[in-house]
Amino acid sequence: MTKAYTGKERMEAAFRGEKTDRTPVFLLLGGHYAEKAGYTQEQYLTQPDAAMEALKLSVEELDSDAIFVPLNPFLTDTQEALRKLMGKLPSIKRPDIKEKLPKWTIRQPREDGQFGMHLDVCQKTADLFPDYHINTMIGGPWSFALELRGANEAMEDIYDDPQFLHDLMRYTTDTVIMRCNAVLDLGIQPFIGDPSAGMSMISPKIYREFVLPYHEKIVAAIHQRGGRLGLHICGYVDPIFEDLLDLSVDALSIDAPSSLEKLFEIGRGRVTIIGNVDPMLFVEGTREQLEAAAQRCLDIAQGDPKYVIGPGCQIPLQANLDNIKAFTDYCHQHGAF
Amino acid sequence: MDWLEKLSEAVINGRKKDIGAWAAEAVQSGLAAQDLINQAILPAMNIVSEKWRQGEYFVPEVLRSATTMQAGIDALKPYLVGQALGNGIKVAIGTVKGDLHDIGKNLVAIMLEGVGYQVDNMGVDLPPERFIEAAQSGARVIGLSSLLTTSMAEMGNVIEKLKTSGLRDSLTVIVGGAPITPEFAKKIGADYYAENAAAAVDILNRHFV
Repeated sequence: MTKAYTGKERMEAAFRGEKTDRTPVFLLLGGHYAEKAGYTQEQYLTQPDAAMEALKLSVEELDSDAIFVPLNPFLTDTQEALRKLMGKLPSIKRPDIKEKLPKWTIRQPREDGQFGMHLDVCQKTADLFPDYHINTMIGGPWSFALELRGANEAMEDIYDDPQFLHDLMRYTTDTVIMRCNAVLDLGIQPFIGDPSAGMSMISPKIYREFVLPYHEKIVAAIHQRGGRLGLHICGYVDPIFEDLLDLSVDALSIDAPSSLEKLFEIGRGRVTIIGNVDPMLFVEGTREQLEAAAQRCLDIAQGDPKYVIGPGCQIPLQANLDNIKAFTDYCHQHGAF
Repeated sequence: MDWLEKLSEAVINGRKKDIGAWAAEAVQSGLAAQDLINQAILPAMNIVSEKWRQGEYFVPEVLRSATTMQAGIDALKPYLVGQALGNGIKVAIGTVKGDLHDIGKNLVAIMLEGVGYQVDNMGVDLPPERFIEAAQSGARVIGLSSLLTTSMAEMGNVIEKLKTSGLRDSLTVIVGGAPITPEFAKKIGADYYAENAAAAVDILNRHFV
């Protein structure tokens, strides 16, 4: 009789490079199942119990192997909800940052506003879903720095005040490490999402000078305590594939504009690769297009045990639930080893 | 001193702090401000755009060159006496409601201004009413930017409101941003999709020729 593996077992095996029954499936969802669970988006984003019910329903319907903790302040759907509640988009930009930064200390996670509240939701998720591989997105140090400084201002700092940028990166990196450790304490895997670090925003040269040393520091800190870490940079990152592979992160998630073929060509066996079906297909695509996209990824992976199939980035909230279901069903059936 | 080459190199290499002084010296050496703009500064930005297309330059380099170009043109404006810079067509550009991202949009604004459009860079998180006001105030081009899949649908909302206000037919609407595709642009009724800032300049220059 074939053993029925849990999602957690499948993902753990993918990290070790061992096969189970099929390629694991990895979905980054937000409030997609809120309405189906009987809640409004506002209720989903302000009431942890509503979020847990929606997550439970999605888990029952999709049975994907990895899940993400809801109500994450780093994800766009939470920020959008905050905008509706506050009447404006939340912004953490500090015009006085050059003057204030030398006086800042790293906030303890439980004192860290929205992140502190998120830790409570992490705990609830860990308690409710013991058989699934649970992740939560932690905003990466470069994107965090750009939010604090202002992206336009940071682009000028690259030329006019690089030392300040490095000082700021040290601050954001230490904060990210603190947050990663806080979620690891709850048995949850941190997934660094650093959207502004891709080539849609910066060059490989700027990545290597201003971001890579800090990504290295984060990986070293998490590995030193025996934890695992995933990394996702939105958009096109082919030019820095070798740099990302050399980071020795445990999971590397790539977005649709990046090349899965090229990553497997140079990185097969070096890291657990996740991705990279176009998230917009879940909104505008047909079932057939999604299945074709899934098959293409599976063909490239050739049954590699260190591959996890999933969308390239967060699935937009406008996604068709039937599309999400069709995708996961196809992966379950056709991803068998 | 070959001032044309010096100003061109300044734009290409992002010598923002130097270009103003060099531009003034070039004028004092006898060169016409309009020539410095048309024969050095603007062509240099075309070289930068080509470097962007070729994958040699990325957003920070292009933005630095664009702000350097802007600094150079600003330094030369006092010497342009009586001469209009470019076609003066009014462009209103902004990031739609629900989105705070603005680097790409700012780059488009700087580059359009550099080639002579009159640009109203309206900012971010803009409701449709702002674009309607801009059109009512004389904008002939509406530029919509969105980086988020959660807010890109707002672009369609803006275009729809422009239609119901009776303004759509007198406008050129151009859209752009990371999740935007030519198919999406067509679906929402935009006139043009621009893959990047350089493309936006090319498209509008061809449209208004």
